[in-house]
Amino acid sequence: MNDSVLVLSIASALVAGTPILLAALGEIVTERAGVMNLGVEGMMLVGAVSAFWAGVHTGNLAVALLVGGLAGSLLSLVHAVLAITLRVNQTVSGLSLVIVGSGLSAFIGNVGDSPLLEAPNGVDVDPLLPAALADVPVLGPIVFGHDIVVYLAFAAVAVTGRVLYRTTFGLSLRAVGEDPAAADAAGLPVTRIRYLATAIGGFGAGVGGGYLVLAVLGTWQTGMTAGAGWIAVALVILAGWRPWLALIGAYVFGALRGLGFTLQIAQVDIPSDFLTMIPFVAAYLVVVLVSASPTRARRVAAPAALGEPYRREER
Amino acid sequence: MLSLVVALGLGAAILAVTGADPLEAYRTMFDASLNGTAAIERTLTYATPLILTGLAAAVSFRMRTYNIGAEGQLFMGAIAASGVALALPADLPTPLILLAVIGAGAVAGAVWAGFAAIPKALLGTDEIITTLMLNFVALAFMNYLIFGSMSFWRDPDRPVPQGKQIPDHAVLPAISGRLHIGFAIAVVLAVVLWLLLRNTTFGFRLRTIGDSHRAATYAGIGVPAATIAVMSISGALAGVAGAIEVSGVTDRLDPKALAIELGYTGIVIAAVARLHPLGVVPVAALLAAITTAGGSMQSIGVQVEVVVLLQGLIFLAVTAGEFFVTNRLELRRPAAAPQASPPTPATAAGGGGS
Amino acid sequence: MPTEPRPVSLQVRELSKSFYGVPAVDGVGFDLVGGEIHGLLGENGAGKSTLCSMLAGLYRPDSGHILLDGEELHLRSPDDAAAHGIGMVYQHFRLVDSFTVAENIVLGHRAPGSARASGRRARRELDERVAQLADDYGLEVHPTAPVWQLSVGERQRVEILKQLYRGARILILDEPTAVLAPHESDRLFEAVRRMVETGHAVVLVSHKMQEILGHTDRVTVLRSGRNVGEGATDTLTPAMLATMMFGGTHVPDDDIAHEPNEPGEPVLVVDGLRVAGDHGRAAVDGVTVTVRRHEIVGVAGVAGNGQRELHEAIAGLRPFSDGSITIDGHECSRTSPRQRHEAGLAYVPEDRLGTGLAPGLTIEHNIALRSFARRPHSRAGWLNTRAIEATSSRLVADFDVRGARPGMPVSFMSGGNLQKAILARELTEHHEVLVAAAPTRGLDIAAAAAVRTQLRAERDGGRGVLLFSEDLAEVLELSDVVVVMFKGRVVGTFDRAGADPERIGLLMSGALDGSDGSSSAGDTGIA
Repeated sequence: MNDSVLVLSIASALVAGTPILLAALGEIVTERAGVMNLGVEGMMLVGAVSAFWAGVHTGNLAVALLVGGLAGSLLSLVHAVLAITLRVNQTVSGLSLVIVGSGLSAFIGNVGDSPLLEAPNGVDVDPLLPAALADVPVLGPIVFGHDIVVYLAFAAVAVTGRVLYRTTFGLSLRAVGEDPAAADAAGLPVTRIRYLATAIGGFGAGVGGGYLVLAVLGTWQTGMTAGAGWIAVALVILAGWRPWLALIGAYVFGALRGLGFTLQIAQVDIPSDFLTMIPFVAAYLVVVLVSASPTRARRVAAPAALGEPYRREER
Repeated sequence: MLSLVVALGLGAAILAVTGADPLEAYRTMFDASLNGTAAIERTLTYATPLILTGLAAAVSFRMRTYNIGAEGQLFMGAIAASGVALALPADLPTPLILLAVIGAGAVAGAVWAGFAAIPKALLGTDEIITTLMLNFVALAFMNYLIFGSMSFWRDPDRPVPQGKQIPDHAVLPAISGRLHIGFAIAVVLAVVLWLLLRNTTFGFRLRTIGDSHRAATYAGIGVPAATIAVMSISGALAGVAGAIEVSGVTDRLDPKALAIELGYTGIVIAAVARLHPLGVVPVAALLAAITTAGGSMQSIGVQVEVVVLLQGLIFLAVTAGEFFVTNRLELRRPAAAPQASPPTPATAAGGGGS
Repeated sequence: MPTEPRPVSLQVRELSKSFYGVPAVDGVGFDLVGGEIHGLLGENGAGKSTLCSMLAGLYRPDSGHILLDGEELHLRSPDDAAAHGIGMVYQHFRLVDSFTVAENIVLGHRAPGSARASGRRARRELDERVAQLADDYGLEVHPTAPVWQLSVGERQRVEILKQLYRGARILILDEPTAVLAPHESDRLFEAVRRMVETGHAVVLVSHKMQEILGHTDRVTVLRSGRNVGEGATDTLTPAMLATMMFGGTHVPDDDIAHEPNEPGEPVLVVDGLRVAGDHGRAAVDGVTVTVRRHEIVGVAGVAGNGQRELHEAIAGLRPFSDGSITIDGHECSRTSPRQRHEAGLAYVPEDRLGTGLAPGLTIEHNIALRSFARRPHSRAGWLNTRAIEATSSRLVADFDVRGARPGMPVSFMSGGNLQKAILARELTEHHEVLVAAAPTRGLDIAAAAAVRTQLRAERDGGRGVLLFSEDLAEVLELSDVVVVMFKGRVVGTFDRAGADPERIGLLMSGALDGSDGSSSAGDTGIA
């Protein structure tokens, strides 16, 4: 029963969705503060290669993910300087981050004495809970059989939701994203909060990339995120900047990414290239459908000052 | 251009870190890409699709419509162009065949861009997300045609998956050596686009929308129609890039040779050229020089990745440079009388402005 | 009520601030003590807002000193100013629209002990404190209401409560009555009185002489960023203040005789219009207005009662669900902004930069914004740059637009010149009716007078004018017919002779129900 197609697909969807979820959560925090960072793909790649490198050298999952997250944060600060301090166009700045990220990750991964390309994974990602629990019918593989990161990502959703809506910090962060002039007049350090939110977003993307390379793929390949970062960016819009909806969306995309595996087992013959397309076609369709929704809930949900630089001496 | 110098300096530092001699590396790059007729031909051949994708990005960014789908539009253009090239009977006059091949590329690119443009125009759907998603879809589709199926495009006589070679009459004639007439087409299109933006009412509309949506609507400019028009032009340019690559360089639908981020590089080029169509040509040539040199640098122990990184750094430096250009403008602010409602310099958010 | 043991005192000495080399405030000083209302008088552009922004920590002075209770302050941020008990209520409120009143009040405030206050108890304590303060000063608000639902007067109360909640001892009110109905202004001044009675010091910034004379204890007058006079209010007369405000310069006479008109046929008929606002609610709820030739119809009302949505809907910038719009006999309900323009509509929007003008483009481009697709400015899709430049320089001269340079974005021009540029373009295009929204807002007195003269000339020239203004005096002065809007409806219609300011003021604030046939007008042109 536990190796039925459905159970395995759901279980694998949660794993495949986790990197997207982590990146999307980070981006939600960033965008809630009014900063649009389109560089998620680049930050994930740099996070991934850094985490993989740290994994090879330390063999420790926590250290590896931390290194990945910090690398993502570091790259996101480039965007912060460009978008917040220098006030350049955030779209262009975010795109430059993708290109730099993909160049930098390829460089780190493939250049030097011991290239990471095709290096064995240094980290074992084991299930958190005892094997006995994973043997419980149906629930075992789906609920109990995962590694710690899957659970932590789930917890991160709860924490993000609570911090955003139930703490003064969350209130401040959202105020900065809704109306920086009002936040400034209320005495909030707009720039500092935006930097912090951008760095948190970079951390999420970095950890997401790290988890993707260490737990989902297992080897480093150039450009291995293959659009996962962009899916995360789309997911933020689809989820209306709400963490819990991002969770659902991430798992759905995880399922779509894992669809090939599922269909293979089910012996349905669909060319693999079409399977590759599915998440992207789905994301495209959903983005279009969401914008067509008559309630216009999407526009109301978007932070009012998203993508707008703020400066005080507006003269 | 100052940004370029900064980026090259950073590149030198990275080269030094990896143990290569930066000066030697840059000299090797120069030799490989610019020294001698063959080198220049190679560079300009490589620059051709980059000019077109650069123009594709420049025209859409000018209106602050961010088509970052040139990559996918190029693939679709290549697929359509190679399809037409393979299908057309050989007894047609060559100019007609070439026109059909390039036209097919343009139409396919425009249609593919339309999948993002129409939702954007009618529903306000974010075009950055949709064009990007469509890139991945187009790539997978192209791969399917060659690697995943025995399609019309695939060469049935080869065991290794490969595109069918297009007939000789559909190959672009050469200007000099390897350099084909596609380069001339690209340059002409750059000039046409420049005139279009500068001297036509269409360009006037586009510049107004790029500066302020509301002011454009107020003035009676139809923003949705302009969005579709600009995205179509942008997609068509990328599609022509795909057609010219197939018909001038790869001779077949060759996913491996086409999926080399020509579309994304076009965005870098457009940014460096400050979205100026005529600026795109030299910048594309320069980036092409750096890239064609990449291969040659391996001989002195520098890997290709450095070139990619260098491109990223150029983009970054140029993005940051935007700030300084904007600010210089502000410092030159004339001594106007102070007013209760302070004017807000709105150029800071521009995708490059003039 | 909290009472200060010793009245707070603030001394401002030789304060200066320039923007891009242009001095906005130049060596200004004044003294402020607790228990008094200090008026800061000056016309638009005199430097009042800049001065206040420095006191509030928003701008840093280039030079000069601010002394609080004898100690020098170096304010780095609004937070810093708040910590010293200085609070400012900006003319354009700084509230987060999507947040509730309570959230706005606590935003950015780090009260000791309540650092991470998030529990229900903390929430209740907050609500209680806000309610207490509101009660003390007569500033009722609902703590749990989202700000976007509030009227302008209520928002102002939130701003004031926010400052009081943070323990502000010095309160700066920047043009607080500019957006209020007369009746609401009275209420505001009552609250301000109570504040000074409890030891607060209040700075009242205004360009209205009568307001300063009626409600302050001391006055400082600014002109072109400099101190030009000060004194106890009861020693000053309107004539003295006017001399200080405008110096020796000639004050344009605003009281040009209003010739009686003979209204002609209708040029703009708005019938039963219903328009949704940004939050989905009906912002305009069945408005009917007719504008005829030789007639100025003035729409009076407090900001946020549907005026913006109404004129945007007329111009075609905002869709509407019910009703119809007819421009010079052409049915235009479902037509594009361009078709309405062609039918004879000229429109001066509220937003000069960003709607009326494309901020990053040149004056030539902006002047041609309506006409670029026609001869002589273009032919068969090709622009005639020379013709565009010629038109532009002609209009710039005719309408006295200053500060424009070839190749320079218009965003660098001053508000008055921006407005002249918009008028230059709109009025030279073919039109039968002009819709003007807040056409004199923020302009200095000369520029405002020039705009009013243009509006009169339109009327006298046989066109119709629909004027939207928050300045009731302006509406009364210019209009042949006054329409009062409240909560998206027309609550009163008056002809010029029957326009009673007091009654209109009450209607504007909703204190009087307009539905019981309050219109004093006989034949006013309102269908």
